[in-house]
Order: sequence, then C-alpha cells, then structure tokens
Amino acid sequence: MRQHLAPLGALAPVQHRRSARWLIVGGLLLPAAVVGQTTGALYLPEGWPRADIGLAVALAWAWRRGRGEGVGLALGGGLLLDLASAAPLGLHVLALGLALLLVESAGELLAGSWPGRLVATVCAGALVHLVVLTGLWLRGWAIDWSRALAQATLPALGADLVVGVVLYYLLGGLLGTSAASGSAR
Amino acid sequence: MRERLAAHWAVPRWLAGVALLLAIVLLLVPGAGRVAEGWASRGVVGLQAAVAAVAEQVRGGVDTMQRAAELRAENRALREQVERLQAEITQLHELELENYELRQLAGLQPLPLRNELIPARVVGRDPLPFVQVIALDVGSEQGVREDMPVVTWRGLIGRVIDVQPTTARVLLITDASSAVAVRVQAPESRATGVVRGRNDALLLLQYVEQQAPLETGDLLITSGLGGVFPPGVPVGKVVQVRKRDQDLFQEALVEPTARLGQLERVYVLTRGALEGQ
Repeated sequence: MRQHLAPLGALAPVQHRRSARWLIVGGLLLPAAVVGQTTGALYLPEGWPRADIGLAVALAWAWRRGRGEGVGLALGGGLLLDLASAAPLGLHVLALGLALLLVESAGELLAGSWPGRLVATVCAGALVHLVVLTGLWLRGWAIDWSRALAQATLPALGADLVVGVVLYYLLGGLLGTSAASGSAR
Repeated sequence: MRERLAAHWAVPRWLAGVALLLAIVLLLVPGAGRVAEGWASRGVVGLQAAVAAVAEQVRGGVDTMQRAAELRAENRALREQVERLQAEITQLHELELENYELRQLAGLQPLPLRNELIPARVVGRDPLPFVQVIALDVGSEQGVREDMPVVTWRGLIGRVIDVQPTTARVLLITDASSAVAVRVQAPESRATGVVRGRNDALLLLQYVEQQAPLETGDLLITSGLGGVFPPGVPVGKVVQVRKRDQDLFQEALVEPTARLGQLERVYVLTRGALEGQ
C-alpha cells in the first residue's frame, strides 16, 4: 500500500516527500540560475561584477546535499549554460564538471568548514574562467588575458562568494537540511 | 533512508568522467551536436524570452508610474516629431528613387538602398562576463543569417555570429573580436579607419592616416568596406584623439552611439530589397 502512496505528494511518507522536494528544488534552481546569469545580466548596471550563478548553485548544493550530487548539478548547469552561450557546446560542461570534481576530490579538506568552502568557491571559479578562456582562445576568439582577468574574473570571484553564501542559506531553508548532512558524502 | 536517497542521486565518478570526455569530443569536433543544440536551445530561449518579457513589463510599469506627468508631455512632443519626420521620410523616399534612377541612367551599379528589418527582443547576455555577446529571440526561422548586422535606431550594435532555429547570438561591437570598417561622416574629413572593441564601454579607432582631419565629437559611420555592414550606419562619436608624430596612424577612443548597456529591442538588417533587382 505504501509503495502505491509514495508518488502521491502530501500523502506520501515524509522521506519520499523530501526526496521529491529535492528533485523539484534542483529542477527549478538550475534553469533559474541560468536565466539569472543571462537575462538577469541585462539589468545589471554597466561594470558591475557578474557572478557564475550556475557554479554557485552547484557548490551550494554540494555543501548541503553532498558533493556527488553537486557534480551532477554542475554537469546539468553546464549543459544549460552551453545552450545559452556563444561558447562551443561542451565548454561549460567541461569547466563546471572539472571544478566540482576537484572540490569532490578535496573531500573534507574544503567542504568541512566555512574557510574551506570559501577557498573552494574561489578556486572553482578561477578554474571555470581559466578553462573557458582557454577554450575560447583555442577556438580563435581574441582574448585580452590581462583585461579579462582583471575586469571579469577577479570581480566575478568576489561576486561568486557573496552569491554562494546567499544560496547556501537559501537552500538550507528550501531543503531543511544542515551542512553536516551533505558534507560527509 | 536519507543516506540511501542521497547516495542514489550522487553522480558516480565514472559517469562524470564519461560526461567530461563527451564534452571534450564535442569541443574537438566542430559542428558536433549542432542539431541537438538547435532543438534544446528552444527551451532555454523560450524561458529567457518569457522572463525578459515580464521584466520589461515590470520595468515599463514602474517607469510609467514614476514619470507619468513627464511622459504625457514627452508623448505630445514625440507625436509632433513623428509627424515632422514622416514628411521628411516621404521627401527622402523621393530622393532615394531619383538617385536610383540617375545611377541607372549613368550606368552605375545601383546601391542596396533599402534594408529590411527583422525586429527582435534581447533575451539575455552571454553567461561569460568577458565575452560581449547577446541572445535574440529570432533565428533562422525568421530569416536571420550569420553576419547580418544588428542595429537600434541609435546605431550599430554588432553582427550575428551564431544562428539557431529560434535564436541568434550577436557579437557586440564592444567585443575584442569585433572590427568594423568606418569613416568620418563630416564632409571635410571622410577619413577611414577600423573600430575595434575593447571589452568595455568604449571602442578603439585605428588605422586613420596621420594627415586626416579627426576631432573630438566627429561622428563615425560604417564605410561599407568588407561587405558585412552596409554603408552609412552610425557607429560612434570620437571622445579622445591620440596623435603622435612618430606613429604612422592616429588612434581615437570612440563612444558607441547605441546604448549597449540598455538593449531591449533591436533590428536585424537583412540584405537590401533593391539589391536583388
């Protein structure tokens, strides 16, 4: 009987409802992040730093729900970003996937404390920018490296930290989980 | 139970590795996944267009409420201006036709006089902050092709670099990869040069001969050289001239005439209606 009730939302056992909520939150958060990073950027004042919201969502998810799930969100978010970008298909998947795999490999060293998570956010953001810049450069785009690093990457890393902290607490509220439940996996 | 669910959702490393390998293959093989990208991008662009439309409505509504009295007066003034401009357009059409017929009589190649415009809404900027690219809600299904120029009524904003069935991406003139052949509009100069993007709000004018008259405030228009941009589209105004005796050419900083930071509605210029005649 319980098996049949499981997909029925409010009638389902508590754990199943939580599982469905994670799925819904994750499924809504990724497209929202991509729209925020692209359409939202239209309404940012000129010169303001632009955060890598897709990456920030994947990292916040990794701290809350486990690093393995964070990798999944990074791959999905990377694909959506590729579809919204002039960059060649696969570049964001590669950049975000590598960044989250790096975070996963570092284990508790980075995920276990706030200083570690902030360092991981900066390292992951820098890696994403480096991979994407290199990919575009190899594809023949004119890249002014010093200007790109100074005017885009460094401000973006700062914005990533702010957005990352906000998303971490937002996810906590939405999912009702603690950091400890996710960081151990 | 929660532990089992979480473990079930986690992406195994081997699967992540396969995904990354697939991404590398897509990057190395040009055109791979193009069809799938075209279909999948419909959903993303649809979402972006919906959000952009709502944001435009909200911003418009707030703006209208804040400036109601001012807008009434502005509306009256604009109506008068429209009537005056309509009369001027009629005169210009007459001159256009006269010019076309005179060129034919003189045995000259008729100029592509009229470009058709495809109106488009800007639905997003590129997620990469160091790339000056915007996405439009029109694509090949609406007749957009690669290399078509994109303008606002203020002037040139860029050219189409990527077309999907329902979306197109436009490389703005402020991108470091962009170069536009221009000339000074002032009849006493008509100096030519190339305007390049710097990934910021200003453009760099290069390759203007040392002797050519170039001054702050000069309006630059497209020269038509290179064949991508039609001649006569406003590009920018010179804000600072850099002229040194030891250099072969002079340079200048240029402010785009189009407000590239506040793009909402733009027009894709198709080839001229008279070009095919």
